[in-house]
Amino acid sequence: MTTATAARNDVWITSTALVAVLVFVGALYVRGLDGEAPVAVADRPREPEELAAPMQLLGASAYLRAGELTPRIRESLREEWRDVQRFTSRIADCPTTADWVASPAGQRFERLVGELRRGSREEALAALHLVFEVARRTEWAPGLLARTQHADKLAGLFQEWLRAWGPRAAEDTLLSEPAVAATVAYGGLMRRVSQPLPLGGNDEALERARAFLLSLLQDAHGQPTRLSAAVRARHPLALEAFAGRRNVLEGFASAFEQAYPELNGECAR
Amino acid sequence: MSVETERRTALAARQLALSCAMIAFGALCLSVQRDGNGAWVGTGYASLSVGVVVALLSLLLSLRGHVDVPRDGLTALSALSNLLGLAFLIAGVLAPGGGWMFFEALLLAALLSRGAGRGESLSRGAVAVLAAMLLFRLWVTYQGSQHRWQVMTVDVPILSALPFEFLAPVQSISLGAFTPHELGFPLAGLEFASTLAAWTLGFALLVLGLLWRARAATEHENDRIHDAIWELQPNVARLVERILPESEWRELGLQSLSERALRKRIEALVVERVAARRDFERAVRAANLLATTNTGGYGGEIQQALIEGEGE
Repeated sequence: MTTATAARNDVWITSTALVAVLVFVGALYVRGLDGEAPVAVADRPREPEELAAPMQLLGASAYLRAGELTPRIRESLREEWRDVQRFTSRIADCPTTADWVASPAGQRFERLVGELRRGSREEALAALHLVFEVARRTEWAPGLLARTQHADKLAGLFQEWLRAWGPRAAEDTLLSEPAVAATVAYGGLMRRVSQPLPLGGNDEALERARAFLLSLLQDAHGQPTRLSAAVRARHPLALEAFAGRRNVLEGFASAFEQAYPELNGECAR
Repeated sequence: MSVETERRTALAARQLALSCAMIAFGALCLSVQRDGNGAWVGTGYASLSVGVVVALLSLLLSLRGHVDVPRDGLTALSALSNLLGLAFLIAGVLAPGGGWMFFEALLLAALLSRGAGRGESLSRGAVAVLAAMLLFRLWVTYQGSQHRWQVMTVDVPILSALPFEFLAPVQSISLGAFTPHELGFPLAGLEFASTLAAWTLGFALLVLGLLWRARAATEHENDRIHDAIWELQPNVARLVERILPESEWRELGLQSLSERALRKRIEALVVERVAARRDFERAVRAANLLATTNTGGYGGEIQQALIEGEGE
C-alpha cells in the first residue's frame, strides 16, 4: 500500500470514528430533550379579524351574536342566512325535529345548512350555529314510545357537518372547539337513538355511530387524530368509555348532558 | 509486511470504525420519540442509567481475569461503543417502570455476562430475549398511545356476558396497569408510528453493530498479532504461524496483550511447542510401536525377524 493510500485510509478511519463520537454525544443530548406541553388550538394566535369566542355562537344565547356572522357569509347567501337565522331562533311550540325539518321552513334551513357547509370556515360555523339552534328549539327526545327518528335526524345534521369539517376543524383556531362540541353532540344524540329505553336497543344505530366516530377519531393506523386529542382534552371520560367494549356512547351522552344541560330534546322544558 | 497484509489490516480497522458509527446511530434512534406536537423529544436518562449499570455489570462479570485494554484511539472507541451500545440497547428494551424493569435487568445481566464470557458480544439467546423485551415495550407503548393503561384486559367468564351496567367493575380484569409517567411519555402524548419506526431501526442498528464490532475487533486484534509475527523473517514467520495457528490465538491468550508482552508470549509459546514436538518425535522413535501389534505364533515370529533385520 502506498503512503498516499495509507494516509487516505487513516483519514477515512479517523473521520468515521469522529462521526461515531459526535453521534454518541448527540444521542446522549437528545435523550434529555423534554417535549413541550400541548397548546390548545383555540389558544393559538388568531387572525386579527377572526371571530372571538366562537363557542358563544353555539350557546343558549347564540342569537345575540348571530349578526356578527352575517358580513362573513358570501353575498349570494346573505339574505337567505338572515331569514333562516331569524326564524330558527324563533321556532315556537317545540315541534318535533323531523317534522319541522320536513316543513317548508325546515327545508329552507336544510338547504342553507348544506350550502354553508360547503363554504368558508365562518360559513361552516354559521351552519353549526343553525343546527344547534334547531336542536335547542325542537323536540327530539325519544320518550317512552322510543320515537328515535327525530334524534336520528338531528344527529344526521351533525354528522354531515363533521364529515365535511371534522378533520380540518381540529387544527382551526375558529372551529376546533365547535368541532369538539359537534362530536360530543353527535355521540350523545346517537346514544339516545341506539338506546332510547333502559332495556334493549338499536344495534344498527350503535354500529353506525361507532363506525363514524372511529373514522373521525382514529387515523388509518388506529392512532388518535387531532380531533380525538381535542375531544380527550375536554371530555376525557367520553373517549375512555368509547374505547371500551360496552356502552361505548355512554361517555358522550354524559359529556353532552354536562356541557349542554338545556339540550334535553324537550326544548329545555 | 506485504501489501496484501497491510490492506487486510486497514480493512479490519475500517470495519471497526464503521461498526462503532452504526452503534452510535442505533443509540440515537433509540433515544428519541415523537410527541403529539410532532416534535422529536428524548426518552429520558432514567432508563439509560439502568442500562449503563446492567451493561457494566454484565461486562465485569464476563471478564474472569481477562481484561481487554485499549491501546489506541480506535480500540478505545471500540470498547466505549461496546459499553454504550449495550447500555442504549438495554435502555431501549426495558419496560420503563414498575416491577418488570427489575426482573428484566437481572435477566439481561445474567444473559449478557454469559455471552460476553464466551467472547461473543451478544449471544443468540440474548438477542432473542432482547427482541422479546422490545416487542413487550412496543406493545405497552402502543397500549399507552391508545390511552389504555394496562397490558391487557381479560373478560370474566359468565359475568362479562351479563348486560347489567352495575356489573361493569367486575366484568373484566386489568392485567399489568401502568401510568403515562412510568412509560416516560412526552407531555403532548406519543405519536406511535414514527416512534415505532425509530425504535425498531435503532434496535436493528445496535444489534447488528454490536455483532459486527465484536467480529471486527477480533479481526483487528488478530491483524496486530499477525503483524508481530511477520516482523520475523518470512520463512520463520510462516513456520511460527504453523506452530501457532490463528484459530488458537484467543485461547492462547495472545489477544489484548501489550506489544512487549505479546512478543514475549509468542516467543515462549514457540519454544514450548517446538520442545514439545521434539520430545514427542523422540518418544515415537524410541518406542517399538510395531511390537505392540505382534500377535505371536508363526506370523509373529516372521514379523519380529523382519523388524530386527531393518534395525541392523
